[in-house]
Amino acid sequence: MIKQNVINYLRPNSIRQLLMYIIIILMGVGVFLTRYDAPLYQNHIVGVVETATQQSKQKTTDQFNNVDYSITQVLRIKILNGDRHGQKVKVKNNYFKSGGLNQAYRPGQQLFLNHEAGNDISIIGQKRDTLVALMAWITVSLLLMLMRLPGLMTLISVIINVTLLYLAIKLDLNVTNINVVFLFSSVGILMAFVTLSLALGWNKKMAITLTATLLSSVVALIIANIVMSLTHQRGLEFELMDYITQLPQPIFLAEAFLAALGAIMDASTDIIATQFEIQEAHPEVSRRNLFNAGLGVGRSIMGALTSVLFLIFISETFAMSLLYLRNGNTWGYTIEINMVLGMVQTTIAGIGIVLAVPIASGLAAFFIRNKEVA
Amino acid sequence: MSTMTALFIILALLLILIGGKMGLEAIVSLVFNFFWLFLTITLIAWGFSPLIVVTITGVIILAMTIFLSDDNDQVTRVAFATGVVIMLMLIAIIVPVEHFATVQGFANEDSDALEGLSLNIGINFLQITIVATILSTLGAIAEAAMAVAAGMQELISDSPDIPTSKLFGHGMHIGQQIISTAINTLFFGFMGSFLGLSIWFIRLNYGFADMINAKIFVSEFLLLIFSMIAVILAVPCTAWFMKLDLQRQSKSKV
Repeated sequence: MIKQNVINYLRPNSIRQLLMYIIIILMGVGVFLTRYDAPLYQNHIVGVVETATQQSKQKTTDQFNNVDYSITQVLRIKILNGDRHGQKVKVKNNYFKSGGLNQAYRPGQQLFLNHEAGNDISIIGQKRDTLVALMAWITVSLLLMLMRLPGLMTLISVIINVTLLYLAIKLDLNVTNINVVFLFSSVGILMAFVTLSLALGWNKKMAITLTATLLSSVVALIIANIVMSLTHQRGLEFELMDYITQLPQPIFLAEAFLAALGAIMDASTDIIATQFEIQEAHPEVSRRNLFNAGLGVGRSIMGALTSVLFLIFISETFAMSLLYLRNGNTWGYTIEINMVLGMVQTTIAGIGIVLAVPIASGLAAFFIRNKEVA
Repeated sequence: MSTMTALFIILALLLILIGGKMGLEAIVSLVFNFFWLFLTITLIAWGFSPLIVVTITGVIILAMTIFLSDDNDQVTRVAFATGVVIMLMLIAIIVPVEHFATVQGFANEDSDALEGLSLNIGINFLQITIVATILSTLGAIAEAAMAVAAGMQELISDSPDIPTSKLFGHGMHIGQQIISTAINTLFFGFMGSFLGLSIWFIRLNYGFADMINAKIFVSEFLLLIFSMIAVILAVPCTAWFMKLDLQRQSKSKV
């Protein structure tokens, strides 16, 4: 029965939908072709593993009594591009069985190789473009087939937002003494504008949602700043942040702001959309009832939304925390080193999400009714 | 007082002030979710099978997040069933994809953070990556399923005479209304945690080709993609389960 429902839903009903399916199929062919794109890589040698033979396996024990195996394999690799196209080479690969930093290679995998002086060839890493393209294709196809026009709009907003973020990072790197928090907040606001324009269109609903979003996220950022300076940032060790190439604290705040923005937009949209619906169904509804209805919606989503961000931030630190525990560190130290910064960012975002509940409900209750009165 | 404690107290006060009883439940669910996450890591560190541990704690985290954020039985029941089904579906997708991607553990970009740590800890890092990926999608699954279920429930209580055959279509329509903000919540959330890394890539002049093949980029990309797939799949699944739930109810009434 579910099959019937889904088939009915997915059946193309118009030329436009038929065109969508054709585009999806063409993109799928493109994904398949990335298996054969080795000649496009001009700066790297690409090779495909033909056979992999294990040469030696040695048991290792570290100072914490963790048992692992150091394995050497010999790979026969066929080169797929450049001057040595078609040649076969033998390369040794050393890895640990747990695979924390290096890995085993299997026949069929395509690799990037480095051609050093003489005839030595070493492995740089695995070629993963086909997989990236395949997963992107699956996501885009699902989005378009199941969500139709709103799915397409979502896709466009994500693409525009990636471009905006890229431009912001370029500005951050090329303009000296730029205020990082200000830069990324402004870009975040621009991204919120684009996202909401594409999701809601240009109308009163969008204007109220955008205002509520910006107000809540800026207030959350201000609260975070005040608390951080009052507590002298105790327990926050910014130098522990990953991949830091510039002053860490502003990046930390910018990250929290961006993370909060999406969830706050989500909360505000849900709240305000419901209020507009109620107002349409019962035009005589009072401001107070409208406000309470908004609060009701907000209350039921604020916890789940905070959890979304919390799980994202903490999952990122999962492998490192495990490594710390297996390296004989205490729980407290493991949390302090790996998780506190992410938890603070989630908490800042959480404050923004909770603030959005009364702010969005209040703004909408006031302005929806305002039009009627005027 | 540490900054973390101060900020958490503010969050807790705001939750209670604005949410009342539901705010209190949200605090409980956050604190317990942290506890379950940490228990997951600890059990794996002690040598339990990562996939089995995450399946169990995943169901518990879904239950805590869903049952503590809404009082409507039908909404939470349907959302929870959807959550579990989507989680199992995702495990079935994540395991083979991560197997081919081999983005487990750490990359050369992490070498600073790894200094002084022993990496040969005898735990399969591929499975750890799978576990982290599953955990990062749970919040998104719960949120999307709740939104669609709540929307449908409201629609049904508003107009109880909607024919069951139309329900699936209505569910999909509600999904279309929430999809943009749900996907953008994930997009912004991940962007927040990738910002440092993105700046790193651009500062060190990684070309497009270098980036899309880099272990660390692909691993973050997959986290985002799996959450998005989870949200998209949660919509038809919730719509269908809601329909089943209503049919079951009307049958038991007769």
